Amino acid sequence: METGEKETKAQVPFRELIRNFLIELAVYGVLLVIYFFVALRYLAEPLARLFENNLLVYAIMGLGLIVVQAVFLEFITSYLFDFLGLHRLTSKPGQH
Amino acid sequence: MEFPIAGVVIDPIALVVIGFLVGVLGGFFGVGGGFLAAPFMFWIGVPMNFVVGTDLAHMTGKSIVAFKRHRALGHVDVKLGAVMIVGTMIGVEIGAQVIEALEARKSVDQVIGILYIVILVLVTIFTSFEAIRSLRMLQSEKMDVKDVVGFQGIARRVYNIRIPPMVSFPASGIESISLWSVVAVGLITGVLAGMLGVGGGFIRMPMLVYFLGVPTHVAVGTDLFEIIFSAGYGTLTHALKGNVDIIMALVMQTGAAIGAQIGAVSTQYFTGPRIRLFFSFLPMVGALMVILRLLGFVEV
Repeated sequence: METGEKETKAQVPFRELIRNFLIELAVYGVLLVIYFFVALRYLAEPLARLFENNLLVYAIMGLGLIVVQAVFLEFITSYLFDFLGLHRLTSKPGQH
Repeated sequence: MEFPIAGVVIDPIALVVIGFLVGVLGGFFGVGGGFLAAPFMFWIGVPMNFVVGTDLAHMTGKSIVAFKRHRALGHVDVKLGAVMIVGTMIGVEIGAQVIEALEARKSVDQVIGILYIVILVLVTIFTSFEAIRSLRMLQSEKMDVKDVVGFQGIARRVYNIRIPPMVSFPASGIESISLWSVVAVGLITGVLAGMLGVGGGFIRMPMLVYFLGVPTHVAVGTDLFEIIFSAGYGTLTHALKGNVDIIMALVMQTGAAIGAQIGAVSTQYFTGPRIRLFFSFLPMVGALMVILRLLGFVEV
């Protein structure tokens, strides 16, 4: 069964995309670490208290933090890349 | 570093590394990776009651990151994932009920363990056999396509089921299929996942490819879409029981989020059969973990 999608041939500067991807990962990594320390600094104690006193709020808050980390930080990284005018390794390589 | 919720001191680097490794696997294969992360988490000192819940929490975030990346690459069929979720959720509940009913019998753990091993070994054998056959087809016929499946019999039979309503999934290249076939595939994977107590990614991904004829790359992305909801739901239920250390999950996610992006991006440089061939080793690792657990070498 052919899916009809042609094998991706790098028509774009492959090195540039990979370099941008590595920059993106580095930016994302720094944001993750900052987020983590901020969360740890300001939220560790309240979270531990919530865990002891109100599991329902703790559960919702916990899931919220995970989602925020996943969505918001990725959004900031994308924004930074657009702002800097760098191509992201997102669409098929041939389309860049 | 002290984790006040779980009440333990654990090296955060170890958590980041586990997260990263499982993140790469998740992004590349569309699996949650709990069968690998859980034993390692327990091994580095995460208390048993926090292992599964915390793993599910980080899995939710990691799957969101990988899903977003796969979606940008055009590797997600949200409509298909949404329909399958219905069957999966019902299936998970049925599987859990079956386990509860069986728990009265003493040997349920061994029976489930052996069933799990048999399924995983069968998935490994079938997927590796088919992937090698597809790779040979690609090479011998010099096909310039990204995906080819060497075994289409099941998908053809599924397409021939014409019970209305018929639906289409353009993102997966499916022109017409019975809605019930899709729900049934979700249901089957859900029942197995519920019975075996796993996320089911390594059952769902091959089923999407072989039963529904979904291209491998789209199967990976769509599987991740499902994991967001199943792992998110699992996180909530485990957190309500006090079994999630969210700080620990955030640490794991720092590594997992980066690993998931690398895994997701890597998929576009491999053909479908190549991804399936690599994937075929995963269930074998899962089976090995269960064998070690049954023999008492690992606790989780």
